[in-house]
Amino acid sequence: MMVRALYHQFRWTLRLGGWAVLVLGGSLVLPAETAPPLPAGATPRDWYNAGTVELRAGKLAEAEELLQNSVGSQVAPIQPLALYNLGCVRVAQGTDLLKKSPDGTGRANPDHVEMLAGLADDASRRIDEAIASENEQKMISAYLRGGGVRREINAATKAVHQALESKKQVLAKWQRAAGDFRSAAELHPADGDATFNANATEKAIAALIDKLNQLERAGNKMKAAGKQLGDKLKQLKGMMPMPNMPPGAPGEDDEEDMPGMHPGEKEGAGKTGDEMKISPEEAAQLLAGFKLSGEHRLPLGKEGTSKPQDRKGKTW
Amino acid sequence: MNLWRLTLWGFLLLLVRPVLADRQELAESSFQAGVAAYRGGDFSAAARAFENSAGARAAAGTYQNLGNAEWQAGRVGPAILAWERALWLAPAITEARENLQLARDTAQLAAPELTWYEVISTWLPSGWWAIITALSLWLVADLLVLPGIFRRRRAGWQQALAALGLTLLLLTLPAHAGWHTRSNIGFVMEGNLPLRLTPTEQAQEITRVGAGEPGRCERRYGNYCFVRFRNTAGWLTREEFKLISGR
Amino acid sequence: MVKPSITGPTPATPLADAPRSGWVASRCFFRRSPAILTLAGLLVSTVDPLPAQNFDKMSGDQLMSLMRSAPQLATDQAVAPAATFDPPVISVGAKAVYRVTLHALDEAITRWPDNTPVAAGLGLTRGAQGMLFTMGAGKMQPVTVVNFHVAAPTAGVFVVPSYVIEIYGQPITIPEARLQVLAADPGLAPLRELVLDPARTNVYVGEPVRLRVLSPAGENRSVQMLSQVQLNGDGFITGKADVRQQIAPVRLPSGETRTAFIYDTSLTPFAQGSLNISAQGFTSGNQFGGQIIIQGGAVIPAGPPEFALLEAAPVTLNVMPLPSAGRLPGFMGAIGSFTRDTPQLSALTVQAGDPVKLSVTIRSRASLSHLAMPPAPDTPAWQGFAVGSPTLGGNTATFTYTLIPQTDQTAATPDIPFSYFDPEQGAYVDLSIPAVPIQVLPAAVTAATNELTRGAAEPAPAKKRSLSGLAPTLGTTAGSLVPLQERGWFCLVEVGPVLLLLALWLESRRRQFWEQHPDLYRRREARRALRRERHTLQQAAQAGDARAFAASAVQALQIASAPHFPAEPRALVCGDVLQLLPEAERTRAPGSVIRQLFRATEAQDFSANSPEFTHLLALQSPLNQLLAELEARL
Repeated sequence: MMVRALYHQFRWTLRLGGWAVLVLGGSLVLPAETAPPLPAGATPRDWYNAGTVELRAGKLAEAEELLQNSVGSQVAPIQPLALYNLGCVRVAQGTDLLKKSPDGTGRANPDHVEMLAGLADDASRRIDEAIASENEQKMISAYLRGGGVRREINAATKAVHQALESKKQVLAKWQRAAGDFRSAAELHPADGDATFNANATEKAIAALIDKLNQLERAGNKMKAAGKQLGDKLKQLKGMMPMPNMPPGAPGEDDEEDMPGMHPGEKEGAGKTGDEMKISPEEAAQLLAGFKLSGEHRLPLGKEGTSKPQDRKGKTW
Repeated sequence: MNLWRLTLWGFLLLLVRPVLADRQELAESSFQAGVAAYRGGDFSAAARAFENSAGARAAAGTYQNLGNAEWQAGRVGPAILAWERALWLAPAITEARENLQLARDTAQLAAPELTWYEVISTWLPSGWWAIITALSLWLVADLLVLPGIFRRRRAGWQQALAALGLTLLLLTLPAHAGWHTRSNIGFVMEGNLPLRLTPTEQAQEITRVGAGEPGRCERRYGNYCFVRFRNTAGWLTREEFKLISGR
Repeated sequence: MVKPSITGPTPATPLADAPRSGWVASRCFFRRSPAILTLAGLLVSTVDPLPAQNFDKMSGDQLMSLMRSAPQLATDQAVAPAATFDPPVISVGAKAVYRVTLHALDEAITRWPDNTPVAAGLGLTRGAQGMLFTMGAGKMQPVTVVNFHVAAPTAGVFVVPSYVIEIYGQPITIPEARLQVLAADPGLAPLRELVLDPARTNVYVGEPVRLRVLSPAGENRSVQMLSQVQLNGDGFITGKADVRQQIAPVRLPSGETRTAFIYDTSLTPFAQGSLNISAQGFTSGNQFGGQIIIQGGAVIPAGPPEFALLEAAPVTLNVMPLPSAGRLPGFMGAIGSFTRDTPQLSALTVQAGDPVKLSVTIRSRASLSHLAMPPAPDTPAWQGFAVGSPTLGGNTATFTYTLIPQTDQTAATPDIPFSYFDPEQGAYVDLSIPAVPIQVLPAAVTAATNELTRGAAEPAPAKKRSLSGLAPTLGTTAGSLVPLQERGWFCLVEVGPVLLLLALWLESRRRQFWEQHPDLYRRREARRALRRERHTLQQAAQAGDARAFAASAVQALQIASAPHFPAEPRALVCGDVLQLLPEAERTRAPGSVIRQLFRATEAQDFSANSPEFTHLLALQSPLNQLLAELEARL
């Protein structure tokens, strides 16, 4: 009775409060733009619809997976539509990768490459002169200069290599997208959009391949220049007495990367002596009770099982 | 009138007979050419000759030799298909069966998984099952209908024979179902072939399949077959995946 | 930046029947049920549940802080024993519960009388026992409740006298309790009970099954929340992670629809046979933990909770063993209905010896918390490791494997067998993870590694076998590889005998018909013979052969007249034919024609002189008319 009286007194406040909490809670729990998780018995149409929703929401990875499932279900009327949208997803993925990829074009610029090649030639010439003069100071100077140029060439080669790798990924995505559009057009010849997109994607691929070739040429040129300079430096190093080696001078040894490690990486600290701590997940599992683990097999057949027994009460 | 008809049939027979004879002759001559090429070590030429022979007239011996020639030429898929076709025509050929076993063991390939009625269908050649079914059907029909037509009483032995024929007829039906489903079994012709996600030229590659892998063609789209393998399924062209029944 | 000219996704809107989001469904629901606002507001104002702790997001230090900040357990409080009958007044034959409540730990009860003293005629059977903690004075206070089921066969007042038990080794006196049993039911409140409602009762070992514990609303639609809900029995485990609580109208086993508090959980049997499962739980008034969904109208009681231990009648699950037959490779105990997404690789190109990650997502409507990963493949070409346990998310579980190619002579990852048992179909279903194409580049391996790899990849030398020799002849031949029974001509040949039999049968029918109707047969035969004879007659007339004309005419007349008698045509004489003509015509032209023809032929047969026939050709026209009339009468 008291509760009812209180309710009548504050019913409007309670209603408004209830609305506010429900709307706020609902908006936190249920994201508006996300496609709901599909049940196990989802149809290809459901996959397609969910994939399209994800594509519109810009969730490309999810959209790719859903549309891929829709295409893989082999339902003829839906396949061309799903392929078309899959092509759109992959073009967008490639574009995203391209935006994120390191821009090696600056270092692969022909002028920059020519400049580095000129520097390498100049350094090689100085090394030759120093060797010919047999002057230790000249040798040291030429060695230091050559080492600096070689470092720059190595850095540029690495940048170009990274750019090449990332652009190859973009190329793979776009090639697949072009294939998707072509497949959509093949399955549904009246789909002019698919043909148009395939052509547009192929044009973009052609431009990308040009850029890749440019990068590859630049990389090769720098690699050759770096190798030539490295040989000269090695020759010069052999002629210089060790005590006269400049501190921190570049040499053959420190140019080599450690096998299995990338430059800039450090070996992780050893784990000896650290206390083993239980992870929060493990603690949660312990607290939540027991579970079947993957190693525990459930009985198959009648072997190894017994009849359930009646639970006995406490034996006070 | 009757004379005119007889003349027409005779004329048609005269027209067809040379064609049949020519085909038989071509099959024989190609077969012998293949044997000679095989013995001479030219396995590719032998395979071509056996293929011509099989094209002129399908024969178990020709397919067995074709399998040998293809295997010796290093083409696993066509070899397995040829041996399977030899068994298709004559299930009792042990040589083809042993060769298939050898090839599958060597190439680490699995044999097609057959259902129970498909296994039954392998006991006899397809023609035999058809003839048994036809004869039993006619026997049953005759024994049931003819006494009535000729105003004779149906004797006990006639009824027993009709029941026997009917039993035989029913027993052959699973074998026919087996033949029908086995007609869709085929083999991948070349190694490392991309399995397509869609029946298109620039389709996404699902996985790659090896030469001689068995599969079942579930449906067709243009020149493509949707093939279900043991663990995967996808589209292959009819040149890449050939059916045992040659359809 | 490359910006391809891509038109928007097609079609502009998703296809019809796009899945509705849960948010939309919720809005519709609230619009239909304005009463829920009241309840929601009431809950917001009266209940202040603790925020749910998310262990996944907590660091180790936070966990320790949480454990340290947990309130202390009160062990020095007064036991305050209480004994009551619920309900205190029942009718004969109705059920009641004798409930003993103690403010002590369950484990602290060290002695209880073997036979609880009871009034004569009252049957006591031990029921459930449970413990819960309440908060008081900053400490957690344990409350233990012991239930006894009561049966009263006769009316009267029954007293359970006070008796002594031991708690913490100290004697504690349980006070007496009284139960009044009436001879007739004047509309008494029934015993409060829980209801156990399993989704299925025939299940397989290891198959998760949903199970609901219902606390139906009492009078005034008052719904008691439940806490410390517990399932009792052997041979199963319960899922604690996927418990859902709800207040909604439900259909009770009695057929009645009533609002109830629903504690929805899952249960996994691990022993076959008949499993008896019962449930118990404490009423907690308006207090509850975790999330709760409320539908329909219900009243949540205010004030401090009663903490009564309620029980549900046991139900029996028939647990069947999984069939051993048809078990597929890669079966890891997964039971239900699952689907698999396309497996994904972390890289499409890898050097031999370098690891690559393979992940695949499994989906199911049921809980995937017990799903175990199939073991990683270990083939000469690939070495594999399963990465931890499946990553769970909503209705998905993701398997992740680290795969290391051992050679560059491979173009795809190995298959990973995986299967599950579908209880609907009663069969195992293959859901193997297929091979994924990958480009493996050669690695710069040491000579020792190379040796090892070669050693592993090359199979042991097998028994020497060789191909068979060539077949000497064509052997069994066929026109085509297409099975005989599927060729068109064979089907046509099959139809041949059928047609033959049909023809024979029709002929037999025809013969029987003529046997049954001989007059029709005679008339038909006469018509045919008449047509033939008239043809001969015409030819004789055209040839001017009067003798033959006369003979044919007489034969035609005899044939046309014979079926009317019936008689053999040659036995008929002129008078017989004339009888068929109308009386008036016998003496006129038709009769004259008949007589002339018969006379001429008879003269030829019996007269010595050769008669004159030439004039008879002039009779052709009236004869034809006469024959036409006679034919029409056939």
